[in-house]
Amino acid sequence: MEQSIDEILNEIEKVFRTVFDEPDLQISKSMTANEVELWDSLSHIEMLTEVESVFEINIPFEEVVSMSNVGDLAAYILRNGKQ
Amino acid sequence: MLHLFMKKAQYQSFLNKLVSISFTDEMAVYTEENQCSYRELRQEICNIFYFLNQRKIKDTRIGIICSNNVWTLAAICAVMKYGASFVPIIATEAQDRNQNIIDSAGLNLILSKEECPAHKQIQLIEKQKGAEKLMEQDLQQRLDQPEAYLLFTSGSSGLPKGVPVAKFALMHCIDHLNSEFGFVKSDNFLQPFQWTFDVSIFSYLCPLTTGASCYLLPNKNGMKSIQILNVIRQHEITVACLVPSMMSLVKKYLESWNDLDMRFLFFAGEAFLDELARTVHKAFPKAEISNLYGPTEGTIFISQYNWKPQSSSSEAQNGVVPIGQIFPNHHWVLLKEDRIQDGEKKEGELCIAGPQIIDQYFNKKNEEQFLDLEFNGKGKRFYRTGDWVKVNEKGNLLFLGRLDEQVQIQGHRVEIKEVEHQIQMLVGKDCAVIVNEKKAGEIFLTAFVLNCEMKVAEIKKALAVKLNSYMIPREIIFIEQFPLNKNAKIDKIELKQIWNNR
Repeated sequence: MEQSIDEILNEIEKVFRTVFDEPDLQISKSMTANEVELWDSLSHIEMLTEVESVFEINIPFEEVVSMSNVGDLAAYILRNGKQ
Repeated sequence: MLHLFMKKAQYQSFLNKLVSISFTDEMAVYTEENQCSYRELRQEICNIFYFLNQRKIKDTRIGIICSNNVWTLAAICAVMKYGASFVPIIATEAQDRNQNIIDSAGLNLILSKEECPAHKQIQLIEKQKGAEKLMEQDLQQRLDQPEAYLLFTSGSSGLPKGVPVAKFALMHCIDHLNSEFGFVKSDNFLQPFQWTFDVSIFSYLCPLTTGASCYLLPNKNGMKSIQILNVIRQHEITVACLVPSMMSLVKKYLESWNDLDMRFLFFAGEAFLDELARTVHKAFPKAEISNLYGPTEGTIFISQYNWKPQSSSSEAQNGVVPIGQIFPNHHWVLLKEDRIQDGEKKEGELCIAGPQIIDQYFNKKNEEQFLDLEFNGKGKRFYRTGDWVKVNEKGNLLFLGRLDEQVQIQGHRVEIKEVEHQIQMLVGKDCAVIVNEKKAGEIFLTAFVLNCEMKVAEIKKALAVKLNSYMIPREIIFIEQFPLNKNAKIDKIELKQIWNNR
């Protein structure tokens, strides 16, 4: 079954809470690395790997580069996630 | 006397090569926002040089507030051409630490492009009338001042330690690299480092003395490694020096990479794994891959190992690529239990003497880091690197580990004691910092602190003015009491166990 954007954001939020070690973290579509303390180049890759495994997708490099916030990530998953 | 005169003339000709008059419309520097030709860069340099000259600045050292723009490079070149020593300062780094650096370097003048209210010595430089006349001549510097730059590295006493690097040392390193690798005008260098990290000096001085161009990586939060890969491809970078962990983080993207522009990929600042070299070689099949090694005290790089896909794996020790051969004109010995080792497969602490090695720290501190030896009938001063190395059958040096608690985080050298000292001063309680590793190979710090009233966020916030961002522990864990070893010292091995079992 196809996930809605809200369901996707929900899943992403769970990943973020674990990877960035903030159990109460609330994400939004406009959120960027500047707003999360532990979101650095190390945890960024960790987060992407985790997102890829949760949603069973592979995000190609070109897409990773063009994403500027959480909304872009969710939109990519919506377009390319499992149907 | 004659010898000194020759050396000064040599240095003047080195400076003349830096943004030389003969480089004109070729691109010198570019950033995400703009680009600038050699002619334009020279104009900017002349403007700053003129400012210093008109005011008859006599200072030995001049501070520069550095950020990722063309102006910063121009300011560094202008101070070099003027003959003073430059002291790079990053305005966004820990404020108290910056102040300590400014005070101990005795800076009276700090050049800045933008207002920066934190420091009273700052001078903004506007357009100088008359500077354009300087364009077509060689800018003559004051040759009698020996120091090229002063950098501050992490110090185990809890305060940053000044490393003054001589002009001849800098010239020796840059000239050697330029001739060894044969960089050309059509090369395109990447400068991805913080200006206070000496590998940045390689990344801009080699292109600017060759007539090649240099791309300054923007300092954005978060995705540095991804950005680096992107810039390498987008801007057809041909020469880059990176810290191994920058590349190992993005290894999964490298597997499908095929970049044919890269001519030289250098790795420095951390142990370089053979496995990473293989991945990088597949992704950049035309690039020559080298491991470059050097403490700040040895002027950027002091040894080199050219990695070869057919033969290098057999030379790796614990999977780590050798650091290779020490640069020409230097002497080295291995020291073990206060005795110089000899024989074929010797090992010990690497000690180096020669033109690139500093002979004292700023204000003559930490004299114990030096070793005065009689060598071929002459007295020579060796720097004790604190690196434990051995020599293999081919005569290459292999890095085996550190003798102290110094670590490299994102290529920056960090003394664990400096971090511990600052936390202790802040919370007034005992603290111990351990080093942990993520799956991707990048390391981070975890601090254990005796239970106290401060919260983790408060401690981190307060540390941000004392320590640079890469020095601040990622995790702070409160503990009721510390495990002690048989010498009644905090048992870090046990702490590591506690961390693993969490």
